[in-house]
Order: sequence, then structure tokens, then C-alpha cells
Amino acid sequence: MINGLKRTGDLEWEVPIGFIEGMRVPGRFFLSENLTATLEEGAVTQLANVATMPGIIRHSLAMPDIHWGYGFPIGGVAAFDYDTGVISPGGVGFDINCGVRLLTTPLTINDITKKKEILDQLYDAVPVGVGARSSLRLSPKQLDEMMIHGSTWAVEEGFGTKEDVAHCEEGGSMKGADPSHVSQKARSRGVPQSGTLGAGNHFLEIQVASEICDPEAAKVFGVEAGQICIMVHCGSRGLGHQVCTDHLQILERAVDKYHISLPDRQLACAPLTSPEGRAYFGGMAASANYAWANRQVITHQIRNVLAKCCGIGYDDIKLVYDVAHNVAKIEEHVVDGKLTKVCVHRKGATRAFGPGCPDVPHDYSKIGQPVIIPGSMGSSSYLLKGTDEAMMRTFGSTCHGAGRILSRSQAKKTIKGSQVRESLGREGIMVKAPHDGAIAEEAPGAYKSSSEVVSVVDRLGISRLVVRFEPLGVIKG
Amino acid sequence: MPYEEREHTADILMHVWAQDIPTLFEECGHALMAVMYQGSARPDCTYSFTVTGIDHEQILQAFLSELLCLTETENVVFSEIAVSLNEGGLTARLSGEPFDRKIHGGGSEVKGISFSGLSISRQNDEYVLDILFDV
Repeated sequence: MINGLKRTGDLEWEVPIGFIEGMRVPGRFFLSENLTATLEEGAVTQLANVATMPGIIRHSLAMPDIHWGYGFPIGGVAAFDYDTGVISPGGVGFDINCGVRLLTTPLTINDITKKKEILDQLYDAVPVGVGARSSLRLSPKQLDEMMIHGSTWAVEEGFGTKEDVAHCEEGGSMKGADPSHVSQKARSRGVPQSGTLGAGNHFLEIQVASEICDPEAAKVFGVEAGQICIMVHCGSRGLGHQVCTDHLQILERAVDKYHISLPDRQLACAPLTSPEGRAYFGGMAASANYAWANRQVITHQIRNVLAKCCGIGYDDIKLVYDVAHNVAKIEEHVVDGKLTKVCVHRKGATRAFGPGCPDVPHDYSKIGQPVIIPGSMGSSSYLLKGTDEAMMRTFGSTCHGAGRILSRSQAKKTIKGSQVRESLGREGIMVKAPHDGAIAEEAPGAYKSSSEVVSVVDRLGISRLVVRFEPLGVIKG
Repeated sequence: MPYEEREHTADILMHVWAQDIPTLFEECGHALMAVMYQGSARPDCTYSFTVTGIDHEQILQAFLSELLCLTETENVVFSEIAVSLNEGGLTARLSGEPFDRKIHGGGSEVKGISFSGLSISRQNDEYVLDILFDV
């Protein structure tokens, strides 16, 4: 283990104040013995850097999928006091509301006899990869509506059902979205990319529910053993990327104005209540809504393909839930025994609200919020449920995925995309991607074990296992 | 090529070097294009823009962010990049050709240009930097 860190529990480690100069609170991260070898010094330094930011409450946190990113580490969570704290694009990332959704179908594995045809048609229906363009032609007014109303806009435009909206974090429409803080450049990037999957680690996957770990919760979430499900991972595309870029530049110039000292320029921030902080929040929320609408449009494309290929009804495909991985939210959490208004940054982390929390959909209220954790290509994905423990320990947060262990260049040097495709094919997993490099970069060997990561959050109790899924077919962006 | 990829777990970290600052910025631009696109591009269409900043790092981040926005919105792959620095900023002149998936496809989508670890220094007779592209 890296020098200077303190073990504080079976699965818990502390980065003490003083690890780097200026820390206001300790850092805390969660890892099993098996995962300690994957911890990078760069990620720990980034966790400590976050602890220097004004108004941070209790700890700078990182989930077991922690890895080296920019600004915050990936897997990072930090809550800032609303009155004295800051908001930072470096705690959200360029891909605002990069997130994942899970759909169920009435199909079982025996019904998927034409898997190649289904994948081919999905690949044609959902634009993927660099340079892919949307078939939507959004007017400026439609784009504004999309940014204000998110999933609700998409459903009203015919891209889904009313039930979909209720099954999204924030109801698929974050309050406080302000399109006036989304630049013309961001709009120009966003219009041709609405309803596109993107590239990199974004994917669309056909899965089978292979193990039910919590029958009661699975039943409430509408998932049965052997059921065919679809998982979609993508974000706010060029619109969100440009909003981050624009506001990062504004906040970089505002740091001196507010006399903030930072160890990393990517952590540029401003007080939550300042004009610059409010402007970023408005633009970020607009981008988050764009992302929810984007995933809704892709869901519509998937429903049309499955209805045509498998002879099932459009409405037979249900949205279990949709979670954001990269976002800053105004929430209320108990701090020192008092309900306190805070801004929780989750960068590569998932909200995991427990039973009875007001933002958990009514039909899931007794169980807790569904938490969707994708594995790497070819490995298991999971559905979990949020818990009271997460509310107490991690500001209602848990991990977001497997977490990388190999750089993309190392992955491409050591792993051949064509071999990964063939090897997964032998396991019955079909892969489609614009090029083999995209497969090599995202190969299973480039990631931590998703099973090990979710076992840590399950053992900690910050979310609990409900269903395990195995991949059958993957479209990589 | 006066740039090379260095190890970074999540994103693409480029180490870039050049004899002077304008050339260093131009090479960063070429490094960005090399991450995003494969193949070569003819200098068929020309664009220019200016950016400002309070120091070289801020100007560079602004320049690469503008280049990223331009390549995405205009759907053009740039092969020729000329930078001239001026008081508090730079002017860039670029030439390239429209993106064609058959020729240029196979690269990585870049989401943004990070300030993390960005610091221009002088080593021996060269200017060097590491810059992180979020992919």
C-alpha cells in the first residue's frame, strides 16, 4: 500500500490530513485486499487534492472503482456546504450526466435466435462512433425544451412512455437547468449528436439476467431470472463536453477573484452562490437533461428494433431505471445530526438512495433506488439497491462500474481487438464496433473485476446486490 | 513526430516537445488530430480563429478546446496548423478536408482538454509539456 495511508476498517482506508498541504478534511476510500494492488498514487493524490477545496464536508470520498482521472479521481464523491462551499466542473467531468439505463424485455434467451440480425439492426438504428450524426433535426426551440425538460421532452415528442420518466433519477429532468448558460458552440455540437451513442467506453449491450440475489427487490424492479435485458451507457455528447469546457475557462479565471488556492487547475471552482457557480450549475443541469433525453431517444430506437425483430410490443420493453454517473446535485443530507443543504459531486459514482427517500420512485420506495453497475465488455453487470448505510456514510453514493486498470495505450499494445472479438465469440458474446482498436481499449483485461468491485460495496452495505447479468451481444461506440 | 503517448489509466496523456512555443502549440494540435483520426487529410478548406488567456497554459487549453469544437462542428480533419502568438492570445490558421469514415475513421472521440498536470517547461533547448485529453 502507498506510504502515508491508514487502514481504518476491513474495506476502508484513510488519507490523513497532511498527506498533501492544505487538506481541510481526510480522504476516505474503500477497497478489498484483492483490489489494493490496483490503487494508483495519482488517484490518491487527486483524492487528497479534493480535500483542499473550500466547504468540503466530512471526507473526500472514493468508491472501490477509484482510478486516476483529472481533477477529481474517477470514483470520487464530495459534498460541499451550500452556503460556504464550491462547485467545480472538475468534480463532474466533461461528459456531464454520462449515465446508464436498464431495460427489461418479455424475451428469454431461447427467444434470441437471431442475435446477429438484432445486433446489426441496433447498430444501424443507433448512430455510434466518431463522426456519427443524428437523424433528428432539432430546432433551437426544441433544443431549449430538451435542455429544460430532459426525458419529459423526449416522451412528449414520441420517444417513449410516461412510465419511463418516473423511472429516471431526478425524473429525467433536473431542476435549475438554464439554457442561457449553454453557449452557441455547445448547441452547435449538441444538435447533430442528439440520439447518438458516442465512442470510448459507451455501449449498448444485450444481456441475460443470470442470477437473482434478492428475489423481493428483483420482483419489485421487474426483473426475472433468464430474462433478456438491455443496458445503455452514454452521456451528454458534445453539448455537455462544451459546457464543461466553457465554464472551466470561466471558473479558471474566477479562482483568483474568490481567493481560492488549488493544487490542480482542473479543480477550478467558484462558490455555489456566486454568479459563476450558479451559471455553471444552470449549464450543467441543462446538459444533464440533454443526456437523459439522449438516452430516451436511444431507448426509442431500441424498442423499434426489438419490436420489429422479435415480434414484441413497444410498451413491453420497460425502463427499470436510469442513473447519472457524472453530476453535481443539490441534496439534503444529515451532517452532525442536522439536515443540511449540500452540493454532492459524483464523478464516476452513482447515487444510491435508500428506502423511503423522497427522490426514489414511488413503486420502488420500500426497496430503495435501483443502482445499475455495468461491467467491462464480456463481464458481468449488476443491478443493486440503495441503502440507509449509503445515506449515512457516502452521501447516498456507491461505485459506478469496474474501473480501469490498464491505460488505453497499454491495452492496445498488449491486447488485439480481433482476438478479443474471437475470444468473446467463443463464449457466445457477439461484439460490434466501428473498429478493432475500440474493442482492444475496452477489453475485459483493461478493467478491474466488476464482481469484486460490487462485492465491496455490498459488503460495506452502501448498496446491496439484486441481480447479476451476463452479456450476450455488445455494441461499442 | 514530436509527441508521444504516456501512460494514463483513464484518458490519453500526450508528451509534446518543440523548439519554440508556437511550434509546441501546433504539435499539440497535431497530437489531438492524431488521437481523433486516422489517415491523412488534404488541405482543401481553411479556417482561422483567435483565443485569449492569461498565461501560456490557459492559451493552449483554449486553443485546443477551440480546435476540438471546430473539428466536431465543421466535421473537418485538420492536417495543417499554423499558430502565431500575440499579446494575451494567439491566432490559428488551419487547413484540412471533410471527415470521411472510410479514410479517417478508427480514432478516439475526445471529450475535452484538461488542465490537470498542464505545465509548460523548458528542458535543455526545448519546450515540453504533458497534456491530457479526456476520451
